Amino acid sequence: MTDPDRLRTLFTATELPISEERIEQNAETFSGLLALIAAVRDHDYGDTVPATPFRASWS
Amino acid sequence: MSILDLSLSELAAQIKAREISPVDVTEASLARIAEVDPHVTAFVTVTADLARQQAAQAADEIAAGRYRGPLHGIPYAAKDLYDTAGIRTTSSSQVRADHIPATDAAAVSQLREAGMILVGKTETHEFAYGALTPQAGNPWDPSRTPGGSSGGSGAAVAAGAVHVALGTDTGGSIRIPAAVCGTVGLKPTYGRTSRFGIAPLSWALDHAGPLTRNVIDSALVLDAMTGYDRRDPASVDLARAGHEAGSLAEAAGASGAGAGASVAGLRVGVPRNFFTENVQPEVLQAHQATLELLAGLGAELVEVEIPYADAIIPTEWAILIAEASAYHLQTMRERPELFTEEVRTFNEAGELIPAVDYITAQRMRTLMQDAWREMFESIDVLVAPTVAATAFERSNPRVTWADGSTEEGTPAYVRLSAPGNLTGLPVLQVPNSFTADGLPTGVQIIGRPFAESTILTVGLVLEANTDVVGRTAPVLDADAQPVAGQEGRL
Repeated sequence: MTDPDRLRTLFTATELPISEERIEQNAETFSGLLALIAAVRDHDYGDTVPATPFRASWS
Repeated sequence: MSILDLSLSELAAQIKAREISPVDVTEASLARIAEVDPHVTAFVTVTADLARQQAAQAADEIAAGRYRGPLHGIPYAAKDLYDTAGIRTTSSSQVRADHIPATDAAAVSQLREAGMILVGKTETHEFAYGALTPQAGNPWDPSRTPGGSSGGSGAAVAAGAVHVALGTDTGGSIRIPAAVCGTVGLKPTYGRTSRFGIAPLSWALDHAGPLTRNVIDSALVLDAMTGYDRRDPASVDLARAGHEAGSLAEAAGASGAGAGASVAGLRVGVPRNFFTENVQPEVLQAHQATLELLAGLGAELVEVEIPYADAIIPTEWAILIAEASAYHLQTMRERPELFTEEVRTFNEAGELIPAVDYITAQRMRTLMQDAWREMFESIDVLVAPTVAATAFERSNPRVTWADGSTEEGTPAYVRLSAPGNLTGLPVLQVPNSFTADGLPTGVQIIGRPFAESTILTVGLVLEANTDVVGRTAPVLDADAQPVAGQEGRL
């Protein structure tokens, strides 16, 4: 699957209206960012808990 | 000589003694804005009527013996992300071109309570989504970028229009413009200052803080901005959390223009990786000179390895882009054409990030926090270059490194400041040199959680022992011409 094909599939899932032209024009930017971000997977996380706070308190 | 040539502390002393009126200071600030803004286009809106009204009120209060403190009667500007009641607040975006908030942001209320006078709203990279602020120019060379995203705030302070301008920092957006404009910039610990009423870029990474002419100014403004605010879910009640309370300006040893501040015995971390890779030689030389200065004043230099260095940029972008796209989700479905092409593209990209990658980035953030805590067992502060390069040409905002690789402006600037956002640690940017081309460089001092007084102490010492902090750019002395290209201005 080419980059634009893969991106087209991904954008369909988001339901974000985007033209074929924009996907073609920005394919390198989109793919580059996704590849950069996917690098967060290249580590061993064990039982590490995400740094996303939620507090049940109402104060 | 203009009264604006006086430092904030000198102005405050004369206002308190009723030797200068806040009205005169405000008129001087408005006049300076009128002179320099055609060259640097730092301001979206100048709030002259409001400023004159607030100045007259300050003058009346002081005359009646109701002096509020060292910020009373001092003009300031706020990045146009900060809500200001009844005043257009655009986020430098067509999306908010007509947005007039009903209430003030928490910080605007706090500075009003301290007696400060709002003279205007400053340009930002659209919705703070970039580090260049293409609408504005750098006062040291208007053909160059003031950095961003708080670029208008950096330009306003560096041009001498105000001593204080508020910024926000998600990937370095206070420290970057402060560094390339030659001002002080303070990103507080995550949770110290309220973000209520500030348009978000990324809730998990956003910080609110000041850009100022001198170090003590940042301490005074942060004192005014500190306080628990239940309207911001990240806000920390310092007293309940067992952190230091009281005046940061006093705790940093700021009395007597830094005379009480000392770094003797302080353990200064010197990074041997990450902060030293792909950095301009002049920036590295200035950093080395800063380290030698601190060592000469009694600090102990301790080499440290920055942990998880390879994960810093992926983690920063995974969190930032995903959250920004979540914030702009509705507008992207209704009026995407209102965004600039750059921000629209980022918003589209963010929609593609798998939830698994976002959560994994948050797990990495936990690992980084633990590893930095361990690193700080052997040091009290970390001192590193703030940005990898001086101000880029606005027409060509990128850099080519020694290995032939090219880096775009925003990622090149964000690279060294992102750790401060991911760890949430307090960071103070202080000017540390001017290059042969007359452009400022800066150094960032990173401290432990809520240890702002320590980094301010180091900043005060650097200011007292160099001659580069507190300079204003001679915008009108050079062959300055009004800026031709003002891309994206509303």
